[in-house]
Amino acid sequence: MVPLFLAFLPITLVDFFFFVLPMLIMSIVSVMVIREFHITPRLTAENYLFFLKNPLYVKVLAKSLLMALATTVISIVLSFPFAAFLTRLPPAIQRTMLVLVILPFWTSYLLRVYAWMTILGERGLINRGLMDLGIIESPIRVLLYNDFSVVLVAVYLYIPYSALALYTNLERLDRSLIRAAMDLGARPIQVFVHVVLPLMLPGIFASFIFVFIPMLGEYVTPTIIGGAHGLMIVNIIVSQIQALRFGIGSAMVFVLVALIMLMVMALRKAARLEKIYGF
Amino acid sequence: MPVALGIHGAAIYLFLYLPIALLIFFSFNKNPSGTFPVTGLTLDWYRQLGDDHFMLTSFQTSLIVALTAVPIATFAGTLCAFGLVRAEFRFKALVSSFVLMPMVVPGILLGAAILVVLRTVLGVPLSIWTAVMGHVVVTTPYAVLAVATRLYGYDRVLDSAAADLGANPLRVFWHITLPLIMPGIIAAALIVFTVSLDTFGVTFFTIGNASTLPMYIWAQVEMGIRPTVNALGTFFIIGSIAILLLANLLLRR
Repeated sequence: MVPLFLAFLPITLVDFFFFVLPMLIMSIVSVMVIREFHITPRLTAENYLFFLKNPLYVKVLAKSLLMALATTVISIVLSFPFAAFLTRLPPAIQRTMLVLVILPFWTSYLLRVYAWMTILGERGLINRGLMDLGIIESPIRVLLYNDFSVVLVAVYLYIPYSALALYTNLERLDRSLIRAAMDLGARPIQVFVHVVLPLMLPGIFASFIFVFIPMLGEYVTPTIIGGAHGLMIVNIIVSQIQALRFGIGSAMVFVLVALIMLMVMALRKAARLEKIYGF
Repeated sequence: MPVALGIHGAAIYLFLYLPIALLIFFSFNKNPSGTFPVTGLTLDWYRQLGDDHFMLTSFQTSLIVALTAVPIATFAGTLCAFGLVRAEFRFKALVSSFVLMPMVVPGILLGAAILVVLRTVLGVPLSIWTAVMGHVVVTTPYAVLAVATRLYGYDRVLDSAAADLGANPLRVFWHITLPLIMPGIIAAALIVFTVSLDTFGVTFFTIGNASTLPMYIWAQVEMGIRPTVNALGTFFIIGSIAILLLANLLLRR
C-alpha cells in the first residue's frame, strides 16, 4: 500500500499553491497600502475602514446575509416534504429520481439562471400566461429586477443541495422513534417538533453549508435577475476589483471567505458532512 | 404515499426542469427576441451559431482549459480518494472537509484572490493557464467524490487473494485494483470535464483577455435574451447531461 502522505501529496500541492497561498497572500495584501499594482509594505486598516465607513456597502452586506438566509430557509421548507417524497418512492426508481435531482446542478449554471429571464421577463412565460388568461392587461415588471426574484432563482439553483442533504438524513432516521412517540399519544405536530426536527438537524445544518454559502457568493443571479435593485455583496467586490482597487477588494474578499470558512468549521460536525460525502 | 406529497414532489421536478425545457423550446422559435410569442419553427439560430467565430474560439479555449484540468484533477483526486477511503487516521473528517472546501467556497472569491496575487505580488499576466489553476482547484473535489464512490464498493478480498497467490503490492494494484477502479476514474474524468466546461466563477477573474464558453455566454446574456444563446444552451445542456449520465452509469456497481 502506498504511504498515506503520498496519496495526499498531489491534492495538497494543488490546494496549497492555488487555494491556500492565494488566500493567505490576499489577506496580507488587504492590510497593506496599495495603489493600483504597487504594494507599499506599510500596515494599514484603510481598506477595511473604507468598507465600514460606507453605509451603502454595509447595507448591501446585511441585505446579502438576509437574502442568503431567506434562500436557505425556503429551500429547507420546500425540501422537507420533497425528501419525504423521495424516501417513499419504490426502490427501483429511487436512484434514478435522485440522479434527476442532482443532474441540473452539475451543468449549465449560467444558462439555468438565464432561462429564468424567459419566465419572469416582460414577454416571459408568466406575463404571457396572465395576459392570455385576461388577468392582466399589460406585462407586469415586478417579476424581474428585485431581491425577491433573486431569492426565487437562488432557491431554484440550490434546492437540490438541501433536498439531498435532508434526504440522506431522512433515509437514516430511525422510524421506530416516530412510532414510539405516536404510541405514547403524541399528536403529529408534536412528533414533528419534538422527535423528527431534532433528528433532522444534521440535514438542516448541511443545507446551511450548501445553500447559504454559495448564495452569499452569488454574482450571476443578482447581476442578471436582480439588476440595479437586486445587487449583492459580490457585485460590490467585482466593481472594486474591476476599478483596480485591489486593496479594498482584497479586504472584502477576506471578510467573506473568513466568514464562510468559520461557518463550515462551526457546522461541519453538526452537519455530519462525512455522511453526505460518504467518508 | 399521500397525494399531497406526490403533488409536491412532481411540482419540485417541474420547478427544476421547466426553465431548461423552455430554453430548449425557444431555441426553435422563429421570434428573434428569443421568447414569447411563438412565431414559427426554425433552425436559423443553430445555423447562426455555427458562423459565430467568437463562440467557436471560446469553445476551443474551454476545451483546452478542460482537457488540461482533467488529467491533473483526476490524478490528484484519485490518489486522495484512496487515502480517504482505505486509510484510517486521526482528523480524517477534518481532512475531508478541507479537501472538499473548494466545492463550497464561491469560485469568484477564489478567482479574485488569485487575480490580486498574480497582479500585485507576482506580476504574472493573466492567461488561460492562470484560469487552469483555478479550474484544477475547483474540480478536484468532484474527482475525489466520484472515485471514492467506486472504491466503497470494492471488495478488498480480491487484493488479498492476489497477494496470497504471490503478487507483490505493485502487481496487485496494477493488475487487480486499478482495472476494477477504472470505471470510477473515467467517471471522475468525465465529471471534471463537464464541471470545468461550465465553470464561471473562478474563470471570471483569472482568464484575462481570453474567453471560455461561459465567458462568451456571459457577454451575450448581459445584453438580454438571445435566440442564439438558447440554441447554444440546448447543445450545451443536452451534451453535458449525456456525459453526466454516462459517468453515473460507470459509478453503478
